[in-house]
Amino acid sequence: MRPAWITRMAGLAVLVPIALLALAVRAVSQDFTCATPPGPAASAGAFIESGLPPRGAGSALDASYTRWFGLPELETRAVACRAGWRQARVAAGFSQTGETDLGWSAIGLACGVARPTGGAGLRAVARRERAIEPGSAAASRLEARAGAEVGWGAWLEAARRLRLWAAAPQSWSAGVAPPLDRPLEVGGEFECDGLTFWLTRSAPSGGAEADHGAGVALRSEALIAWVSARDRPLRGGVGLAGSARRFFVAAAVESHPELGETVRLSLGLGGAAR
Amino acid sequence: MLHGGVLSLAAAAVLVAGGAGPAGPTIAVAIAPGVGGAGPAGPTIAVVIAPGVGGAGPATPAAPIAVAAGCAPAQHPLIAELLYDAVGDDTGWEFIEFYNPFDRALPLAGARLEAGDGSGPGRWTLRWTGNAVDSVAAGGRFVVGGAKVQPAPRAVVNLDLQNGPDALRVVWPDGAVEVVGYGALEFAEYSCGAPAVDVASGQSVARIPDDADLGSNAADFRAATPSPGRANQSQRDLAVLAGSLVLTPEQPDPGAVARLTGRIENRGATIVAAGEATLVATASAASPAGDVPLFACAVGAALAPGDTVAFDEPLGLEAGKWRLRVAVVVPGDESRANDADSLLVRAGPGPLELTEIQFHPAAGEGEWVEVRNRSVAPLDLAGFTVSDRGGARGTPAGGEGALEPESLAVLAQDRAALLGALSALDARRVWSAGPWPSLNNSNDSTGFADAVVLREADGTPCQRVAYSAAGVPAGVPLEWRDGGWWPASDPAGTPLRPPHTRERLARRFECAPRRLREGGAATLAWDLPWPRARISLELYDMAGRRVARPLEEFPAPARGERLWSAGAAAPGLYVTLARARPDGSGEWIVERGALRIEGSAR
Repeated sequence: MRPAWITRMAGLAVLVPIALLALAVRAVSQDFTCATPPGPAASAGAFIESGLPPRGAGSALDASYTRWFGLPELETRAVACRAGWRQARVAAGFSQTGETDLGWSAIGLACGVARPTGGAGLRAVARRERAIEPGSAAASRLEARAGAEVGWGAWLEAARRLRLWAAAPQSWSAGVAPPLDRPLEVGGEFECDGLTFWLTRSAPSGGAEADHGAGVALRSEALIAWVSARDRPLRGGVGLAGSARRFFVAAAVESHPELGETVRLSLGLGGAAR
Repeated sequence: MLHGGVLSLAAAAVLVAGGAGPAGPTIAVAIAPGVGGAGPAGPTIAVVIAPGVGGAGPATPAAPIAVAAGCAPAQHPLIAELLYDAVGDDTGWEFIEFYNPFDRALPLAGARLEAGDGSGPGRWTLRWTGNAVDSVAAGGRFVVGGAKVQPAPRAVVNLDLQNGPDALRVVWPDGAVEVVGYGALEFAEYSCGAPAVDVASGQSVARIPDDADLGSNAADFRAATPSPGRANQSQRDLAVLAGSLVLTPEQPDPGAVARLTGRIENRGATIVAAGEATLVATASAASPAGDVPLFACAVGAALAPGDTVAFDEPLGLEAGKWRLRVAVVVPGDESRANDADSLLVRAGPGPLELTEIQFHPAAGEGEWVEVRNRSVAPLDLAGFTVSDRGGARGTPAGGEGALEPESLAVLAQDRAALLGALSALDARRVWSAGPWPSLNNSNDSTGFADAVVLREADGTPCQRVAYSAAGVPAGVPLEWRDGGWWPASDPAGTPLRPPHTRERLARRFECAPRRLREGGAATLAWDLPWPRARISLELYDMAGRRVARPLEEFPAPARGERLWSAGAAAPGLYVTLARARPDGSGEWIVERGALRIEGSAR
């Protein structure tokens, strides 16, 4: 007969994701976005972006490039590194987004703990406007030329091969508003015979309806390929990541029906896409 | 018609021996009050005819027969025509015409012609009294009138008649009275039955036919072209109804087909058979080119007396100002004066054109329109009028000098207010126009708000612009550019300056600035490959979700710009999506751009 605590844990494993999915609001990557599937990743940039610490220890260095909706004036370039010792995880990075007159530079930090069954972390990003006109408000006041945000992320091995996560990257913010409001995202993934299925739910603030995402990844020793879809409006994406020795490279494209394609490229040392 | 000569309306009751001899029937006639009586209607006469001695049947009384009696007293000349309102100063032009329908001469001796002031009861004043030698020949006419009346009246008198509602009456020596009232009279004594119409200046009140006596002034008299000493109604007379000519479109393109419509009326007493009359149209220009024949066609319909028929003929005109003349020709026409009418028209653009229309001013400067002299000679703006769809024409005044070729001027509702609001304007080229045609601000069911119409002082069309107010931001004038009327590129307009011309863009769309404050405004400029397009603008956040549509689809010229507001969009980074398609159908042009909205974290 199955022990009672196993039954309770199984119940929690079902109820917690449902509750989190119901409460979720949007969180879309910005400054340290990487070509990875959603959820906890080995990438340093992904750790800074979401606050979800990687499961594995060790160190890694990665660089990423994103062109948003095919707009040359909207490109993000980022470098990040991470280190881990026992259960502790830390990461730091620098990024720059957009042309001078509308873009910003950002530094990011993340720290957390992780075990094979779960992890939690804090992340912080500080931004500074790239263009500061002499005599302007931005020149005279710090809060008019810089902004900061602090958030958290956590993941849990809720059951065998089932992992859930939640991230609120902007639990606190000050100064210049971030480029995108990112209150909360929840998600879960399930592994089965080399395939990983995931679901995410996020929604914007302000009472709008939720966004949903879904995808499937095919994993092998050195390769991950995935396809994904999001709604509002319906769009799809594909990604491919490969690693050899301590190097990895990844690329992902998401196609928006109105705005065009967003392309992400990542390459790194010491880590992997997942 | 019943002729008034049979019955005396002055009598209350008359017993008439119907026949000359004893064999004739006896007729009893009872007459209710008529002219001068209390009621506005004509008198009613009950006639009872009984067989006389020697009659064929038994002496049983017949049933009474009610008939309508006339307004004209028996055995006296009729008032056949009166002119009380000549064009301009009436002095010397007014006249009254007596007509004798009988076959023997009738005297006017002792007849008193009195004018009645309809503003109060009993206000009759003597104008003329017939002398012993005055008489009207059998079937003849006798005119009493001013010295300017042609042909010269038999009795020259300055009648000094008032414009309606007023009246005229003749009091005969035997006590008979004939009253002719015109206009909406309040007191019954000033008319016989319903009064005649109050006619326009230059027209007379004429008895048509000349011996009509139907029981009321309204039935007997009509507006007519003055004809002192002549019959009011010819036996044969076709007329082109004055003012009925219309050219559609009013100002056609040179060589384009336009339609000329109008109406013909048979004012004669006899029928005009189908095909008997011919319609002839010519165009004459101000240049020495002479008359140009337009069309000649037979009138295909038969016209009974009083009938009218419309005509509608196509024509084409070369560029310029023309006087169209339409004449109806019928053999034996006895009245040539009404055979033709004319219309001033223009084919192609006029010398003055509209370049800007401010129909909804927001800064208290009043409405105004900007005009340009597109001719090669200076123009005096006082020789033009401006009007709206309603037609009230304002005449420019207050500016200085002639408008040089290619120069701009402003016609303003309130010149002082406009100069006060825009002090940099050259006051010499700002004219007031009064009365100002108030321009509507919102469209009606026709899809247009109003029209601005320029004419020369003689009424010749110069330009007509019907405009739509849909999609025009409040306070922004319309300006002519890129072959159409569009909201002005400069929201304040460019009075006395040409429209702001945009330089070619490197892209199809440009949004500027790319960085604006929360709730701020930006400009969307476009440069499209089509003369007319429909444009919209949407705003997406970095998650790819549409958050706003600052510009709903609107019609636009090939090049232009439009101010838009980010509205309630939160601070952040956005993607603008501008779309355009050619007016009608065609491929979309879509361009995206980045936009940063500044603001503090919430």
